[in-house]
Amino acid sequence: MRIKKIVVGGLLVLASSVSAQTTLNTSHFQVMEARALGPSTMSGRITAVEGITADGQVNLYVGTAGGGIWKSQNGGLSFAPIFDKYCQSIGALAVEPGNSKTVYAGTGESNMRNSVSIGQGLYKTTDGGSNWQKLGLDSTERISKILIDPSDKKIIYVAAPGPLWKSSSHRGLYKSTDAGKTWDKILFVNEETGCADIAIHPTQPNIILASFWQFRRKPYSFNSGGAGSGFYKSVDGGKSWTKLSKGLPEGDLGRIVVTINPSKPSQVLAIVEAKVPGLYQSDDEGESWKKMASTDNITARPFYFSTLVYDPKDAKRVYRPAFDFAYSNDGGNTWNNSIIGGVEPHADHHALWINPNNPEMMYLGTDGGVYMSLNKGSSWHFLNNLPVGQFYHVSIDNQAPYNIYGGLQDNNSWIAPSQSPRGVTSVDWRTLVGGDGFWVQPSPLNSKIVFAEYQGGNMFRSNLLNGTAVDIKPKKQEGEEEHRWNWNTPIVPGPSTKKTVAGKSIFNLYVGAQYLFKSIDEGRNWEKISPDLTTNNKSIQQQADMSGGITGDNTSAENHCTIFTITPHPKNEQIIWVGTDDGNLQVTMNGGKTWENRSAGIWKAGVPQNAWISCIELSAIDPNRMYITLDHHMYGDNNTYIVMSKDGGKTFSRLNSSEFTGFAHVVREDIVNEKLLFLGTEMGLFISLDGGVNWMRSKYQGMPWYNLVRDLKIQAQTNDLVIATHGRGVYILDNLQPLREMIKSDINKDAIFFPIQAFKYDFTPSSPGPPSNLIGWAAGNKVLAPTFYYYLKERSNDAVKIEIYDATNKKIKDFNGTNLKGLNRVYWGLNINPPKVAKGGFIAQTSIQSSAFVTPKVPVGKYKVVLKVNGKTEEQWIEILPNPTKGYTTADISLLYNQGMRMFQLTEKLAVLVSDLDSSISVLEKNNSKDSIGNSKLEKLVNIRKEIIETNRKSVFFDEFKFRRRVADLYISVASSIEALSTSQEKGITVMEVEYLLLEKQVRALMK
Amino acid sequence: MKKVILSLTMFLAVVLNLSAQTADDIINKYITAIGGTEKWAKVQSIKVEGQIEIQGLAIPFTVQGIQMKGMRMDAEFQGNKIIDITTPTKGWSQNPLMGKANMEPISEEELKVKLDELDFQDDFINYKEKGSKVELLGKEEEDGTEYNKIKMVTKNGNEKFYFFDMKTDLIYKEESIVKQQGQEVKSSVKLLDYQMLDYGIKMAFKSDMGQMMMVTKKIIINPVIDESIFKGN
Repeated sequence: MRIKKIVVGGLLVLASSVSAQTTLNTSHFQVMEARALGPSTMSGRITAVEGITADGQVNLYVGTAGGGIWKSQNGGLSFAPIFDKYCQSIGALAVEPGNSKTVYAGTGESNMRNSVSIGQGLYKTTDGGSNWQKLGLDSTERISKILIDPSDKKIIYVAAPGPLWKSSSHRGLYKSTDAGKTWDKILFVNEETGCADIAIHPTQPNIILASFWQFRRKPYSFNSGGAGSGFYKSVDGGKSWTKLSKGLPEGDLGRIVVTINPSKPSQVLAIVEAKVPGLYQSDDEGESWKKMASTDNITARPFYFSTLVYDPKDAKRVYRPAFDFAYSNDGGNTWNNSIIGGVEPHADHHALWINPNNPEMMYLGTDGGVYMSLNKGSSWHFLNNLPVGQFYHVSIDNQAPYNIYGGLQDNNSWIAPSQSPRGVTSVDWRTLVGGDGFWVQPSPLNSKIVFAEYQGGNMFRSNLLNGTAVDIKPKKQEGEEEHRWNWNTPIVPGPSTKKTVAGKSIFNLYVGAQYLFKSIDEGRNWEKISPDLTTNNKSIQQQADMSGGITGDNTSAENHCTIFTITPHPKNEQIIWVGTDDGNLQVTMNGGKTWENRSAGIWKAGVPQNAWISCIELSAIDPNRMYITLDHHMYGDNNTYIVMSKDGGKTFSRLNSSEFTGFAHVVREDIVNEKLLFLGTEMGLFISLDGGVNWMRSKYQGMPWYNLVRDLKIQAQTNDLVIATHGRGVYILDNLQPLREMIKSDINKDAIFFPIQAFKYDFTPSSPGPPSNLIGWAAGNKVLAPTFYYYLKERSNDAVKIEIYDATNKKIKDFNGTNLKGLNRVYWGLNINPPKVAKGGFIAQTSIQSSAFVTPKVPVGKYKVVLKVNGKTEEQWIEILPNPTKGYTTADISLLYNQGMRMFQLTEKLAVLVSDLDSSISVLEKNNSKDSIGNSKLEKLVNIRKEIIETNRKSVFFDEFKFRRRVADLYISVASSIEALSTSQEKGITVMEVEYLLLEKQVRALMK
Repeated sequence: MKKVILSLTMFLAVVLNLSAQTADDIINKYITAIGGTEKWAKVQSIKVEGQIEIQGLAIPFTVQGIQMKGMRMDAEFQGNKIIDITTPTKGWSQNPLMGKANMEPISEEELKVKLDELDFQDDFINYKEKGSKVELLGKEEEDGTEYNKIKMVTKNGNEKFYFFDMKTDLIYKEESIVKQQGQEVKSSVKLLDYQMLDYGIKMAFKSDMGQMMMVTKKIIINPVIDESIFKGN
């Protein structure tokens, strides 16, 4: 008995100590929601497009390379993301025939380029994407096609090419006969060969064709094809298979694309990668084949283009979307790629859905978004509403508002403002340099100079003043080996500027091949300031000979033994750290005179030797602290590697968390609070509030949970975190200050009211705004208003009250705050409690309606802010400052306030007068049959009321101006002004005041 | 020995049972937490007074309803009367601020969505008899906490998703999907501040709709309501 009591008591102690220890997750600062800036005007790679008509609407499901799944219920005129809690790389989608709500989603893209992401298995929704269930196949990493048996929707086939960077037994063709609950692998060749494509006979669904493909990428080469590749047929639903060869090319094969003619199912087309590649046709369900066309657009880059689609109704019409859009009207003998009218679709196509009810209508998924055609692909229209661009890096400048710079996969280098009148929209984004974009860096000294590049270190100095760009790529000098430039070559300006003897301001610009180069004249002249910093292992530098396999492919994506990251010290530029793609960590302490290899330190911490060094982050606070992220996925290892050093990079220790997923791209330490860290991986943004001991996945900042986070920057003036993603464009998490405050505070307290940042008078600009029909994807602006942050340990059921007091301790404003668990954020529009407004008559969409919440803005000064929550009171002060450079001087703000208050008082006086008038009328109406004097008085009162209140007006299209409306119009005009009224304009207020006095006299006299 | 094994198996069976929680287990716990079927089934009319808080404004409202017969909402803003009436066959609304100066009939599509609201008893009280179907979707994280998620399709074909708090057994969040012109629009509300009424049932006194909060001040169960208030015109 006693023992039991102790045990129970012990449990209680345990329970209470657990509850006392508040552990945070990112929902505790959900008010910090990132703004998604897009762009949608330059969208990203689309990997799957499936559609179905339901309730008269064309429903589309669009799968992307790194931006999840988007659904449209109106034929692509608008989209919403529906897969934001899961892996964002989509390989294939399938909609159940006749059921627009049941969709299968295979994660992991199968367009096997160097930068392709990885998947986490197969998912299913039965409600159109609101809820998803995981069905398994987790280790396939890549799914290229999902087919549903047309005669039995419970039978599903999944083609899994499998991992790109390693051998795996999880490749092959999978089948489920219970709608995805359980799976059988029905065809497997070997650990190097996966299932690339499948096709089902539409009327005899036991006939299946499946292509198998042997492929492998290494950091320095790609191999397509081999003995494992082959073309198979089953006539018993996958129980047994025969290998097809009759009429097909001899020797090793590569990737094969297959499609069955829905109008004539005995006819099959296949594009076969082989020494002699081509389009092949079979007229006997795949038994024998004959060669047809073999033009470039049919056969080029088979690892990247694997789409071949028959028209749903026309047996002769075939589409081959690849690097351009080719179509045939004779079953594939001849091909055309003319585009007439509309826009040219972006190059590189991966998906095509043709509306079976109307084959004129089709949707094309490209490397730059989705295009729609209404005439079988002759003309196209771009859908400017999918913000799924794939950034590699992001940079910022110090302008106000600051600008965002970044390079997009296959889609140029870009610049956009962080804020723009009416929000950042499609029209705010401007392109700089073409090709694949990577690093884009503004000059620290000249706001009109930007450095940008395309793949393989082809770099330019862009002049925004005259719109020209100059090639600045360092040329090979005497005694140097051929330069090796990474596909994604780092371009980094030094953090410090200095003056030459002649007094000219200069900065260092660094770029890296195998050598580190420095320029002090914006890339005109370069100085080599290091020896070869890589391993210079010749056996992994033979891309021209080694890469491609059956079809040669060498596009600088396989360049190896190169510099991949450059980090000059933020305080002392004599110190420069460099990381290479072959695992070398190098440092100079003397501006490049001598170099030291520090790689052994990170290997000791448990990082594999050849992992790419993806980011080196040097603390701006503690000169001895640094963080490094490493990426080993190209060796088949997707682990998250991040190491930390506390001794200036001599020794390292690995940071770990059960939350981590995805190989690591970037780590940042906050520039103010060293406990605040951000880590970006291929599968998420992770935040630490304790210097890296504990990490939490960002789930509640308005971004996908498994966001592909490639780069992070903190803007010093605004304290914003800028996030570059490889699939959802750029995000800005405005103002990190409240997180810093949370770190400093004891979060076990019930409520904390954080110090309020002073506010300089300012207003969000509203012009020149974008043309409203070109907005595309839009992000709101950071709110320009005094902002109060407070923390609640638990969600409060009682309203959180906020009161603001002026310098005389008079309460001027009450409002309710939010009551979220964790951080809360409330904006104050500089307003006071609104005036009482005369009631009755027509008010809809008028200044009278607005008078109930618009008020004059408070003058400059200190205000006390009182927070009342759960019976407790917390206080903070805020200082409202003038902003003379923008024209908001103390005197002008004060004058405007006084003018506004005159109209405020007039509005309230009128409200009282009308209220008294209404009471008199009401009394008389009750007695109206009693005497004629009363009736006459009533009539007079009713008539004068009609001169004050708009009683005739019934609609917004029939205007009526009575006294109340005139007061309200002037009140709103003054209260919403940002500049004091001039002497002559102010006379308008005086006139109104005089008119009111006369009116009041008249009304009161009648009421007597 | 056999006995020991038997009791062990039984213990395991219990454990297994616990892990295989069904939708009805969660619903039954919820119904117990809000006062039980017996009391709820006797709710035949209701009157609610409160205010809608939006952008710093508080707009008072009254809702009156007779179970499955009619519902009427009255609100007032700056002297303008906003009215909303739903009956099993027709609905009307008046909102001068939105250009509806007089009582106007609502479309069938709008009515279909509102029909569910005529059930003043909780959605889960006798849900089978009322023609609703439920499905347990598993656990889902919301605001950093895991909830049991249940899908309900009502007799009127409306789809709703409920998040059940695993500690309190109460509903934390309700998502509903409304179909307009063939396209689906999702909306969600968080149910807060559950209070026990004198009548013996528990109800949420706050509905957080993000931009808007509905705050209940007073609830009367089974008041006498004149059916004539449900006549639109």
